[in-house]
Amino acid sequence: MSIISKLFGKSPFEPLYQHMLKVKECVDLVRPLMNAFIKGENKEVKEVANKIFKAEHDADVVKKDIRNNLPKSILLPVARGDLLSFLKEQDNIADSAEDLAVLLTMRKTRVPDEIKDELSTFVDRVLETYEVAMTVSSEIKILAETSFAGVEAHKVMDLIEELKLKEWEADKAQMEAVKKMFSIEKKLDPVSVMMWMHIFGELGTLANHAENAGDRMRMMLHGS
Amino acid sequence: MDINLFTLILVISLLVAFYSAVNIGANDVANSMATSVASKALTIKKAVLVAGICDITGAILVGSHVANTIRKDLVDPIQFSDRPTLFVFGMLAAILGSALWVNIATYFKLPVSTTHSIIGGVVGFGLVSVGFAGIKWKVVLYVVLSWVISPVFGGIIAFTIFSIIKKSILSSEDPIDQTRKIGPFFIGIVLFILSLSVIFKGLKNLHLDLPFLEALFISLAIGVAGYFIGKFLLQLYKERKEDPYYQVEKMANPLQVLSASFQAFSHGANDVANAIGPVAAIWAVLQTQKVEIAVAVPIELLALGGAGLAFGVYMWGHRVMETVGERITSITPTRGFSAEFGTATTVLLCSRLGMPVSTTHVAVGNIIGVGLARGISAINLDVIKKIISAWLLSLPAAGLFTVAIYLILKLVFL
Repeated sequence: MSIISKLFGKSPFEPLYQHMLKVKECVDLVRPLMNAFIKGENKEVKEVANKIFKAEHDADVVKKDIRNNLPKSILLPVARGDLLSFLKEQDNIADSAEDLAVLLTMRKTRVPDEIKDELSTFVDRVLETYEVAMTVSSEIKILAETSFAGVEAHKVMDLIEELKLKEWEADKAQMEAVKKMFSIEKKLDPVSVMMWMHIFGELGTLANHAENAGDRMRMMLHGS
Repeated sequence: MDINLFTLILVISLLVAFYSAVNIGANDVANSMATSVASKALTIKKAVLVAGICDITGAILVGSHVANTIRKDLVDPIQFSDRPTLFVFGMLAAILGSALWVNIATYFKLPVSTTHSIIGGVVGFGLVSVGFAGIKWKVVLYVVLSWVISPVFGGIIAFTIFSIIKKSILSSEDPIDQTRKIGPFFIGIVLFILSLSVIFKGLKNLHLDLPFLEALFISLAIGVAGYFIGKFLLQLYKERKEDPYYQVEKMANPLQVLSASFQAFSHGANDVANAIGPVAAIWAVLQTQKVEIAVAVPIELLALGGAGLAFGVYMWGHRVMETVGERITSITPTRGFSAEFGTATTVLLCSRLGMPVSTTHVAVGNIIGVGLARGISAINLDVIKKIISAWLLSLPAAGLFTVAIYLILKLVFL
């Protein structure tokens, strides 16, 4: 076989795109999960959570496959380290969705009517942040096509700026939700308060990872 | 010397040369054409046809320079003027030895180069027959240097070309319009270089030896004509509601076919000598009954070598390209053009300078050049290590095989 064909390694960008789709599958289930949780339908929470666990596992498989196909001797159009940390951040998003699902199935926490609105808005902001991050990730194939420069790169950079704004809004929504929760703290038992802090924290982490994924993408565009 | 023995040797060497040429053609066809097949710019059938034609014309028009280096510049035949038989035996041993080595190496899947093997063979024969002092080490040094320089030089060209494409087309607001503007330049440049190399001192065999200025002028005219034809053809392209970058690649298809043909042409120009270089030496001795170096490489031999290349392409090109084409889909027409342009220009330049370089290694250097310009999604740099070790192995191995065959021939016939 020709040495020329051995020269071409497996492109990591198509699998990166596939990984993004798997992560999206996970995060797309967060809305149904939270809806069921707010309504207090524990059986449905469990069902949706199981779907999230499955999708998260699928994402892990793709992630491992990408890592295994990227030995140090491979020459990429972007820095290998940047690519791997982007992958890690993108995978962390799915992990956050999984952790949230675990939290909600571990204990039957009732959602008090007073915080339902704030919680709902917070989930909206988090998912909006993720939507932008996903748009950024889905550009990866086009970026490889244009060798990570020019108009496409600028477009992605603008999206990353927007992503930062969205994450900031998610932070604000988180603060509102926490404040609201403490305003009714007398009505809540201490274990519930602890659970709420964890649930809010995990949602916030999801948004943070989405923002970080954008940052890593920016490093890929600038670096190497 | 016995005429019958001599004729026998000539027939054997012609057969081995043809066999080598067929091997070279079959192995290397994918280097130039697989990209065009992978991008569906050409069907395998058409690619085989185009590669065959380009290989044979390159061999006939530009093949004599490198053949001369192999037949008389490494080991000076004058040293054998009183014993031409030894020289003939040596050259026969060189083709047999290197062919044997290439076959063994291919069996063990080592990426060896026929160029390195034939040079190893000729130098091996020189060492055992006339000793260390009988070899023109300066030429050997130039040749070995060219093996290092050519992939790097080509890589720089490919890097530059792809960077230009990236800056002017892929990064622009309207990539399709930019392709219409920039594309014709590339077509013009390819045609200019190609015709200059053919017309300037290349047409000796056709008794059309033009002075440099005239050749330059004609080539320029051809290049400009190519520019306008390309401009016209690219205007015909109708924009679709698709991703513009895919459309750019589509528009670059013909450009890539052009550069692939250019590469096949320069492959013929350089690699035909690996097969027929030593035979040319044997032929010259048979013609004159003495060791004569002034004789030109006969066009019949170049044609025979070229036909061997084309035959190899025809017989095995289909299978080789099917397997290779699947693996290299990541090299799109803009990348393919950059790499092939760099490879072809470098190999052609080396051919004109009489430097026997490995076209495959130059191609590898060029693809890495495009990779360094961030054009290819993943390149296994491990391949470089394999190439270098096969390289270091080829020279002594082919040399040893040649020496063994030479000594046997001497023992049996003298």
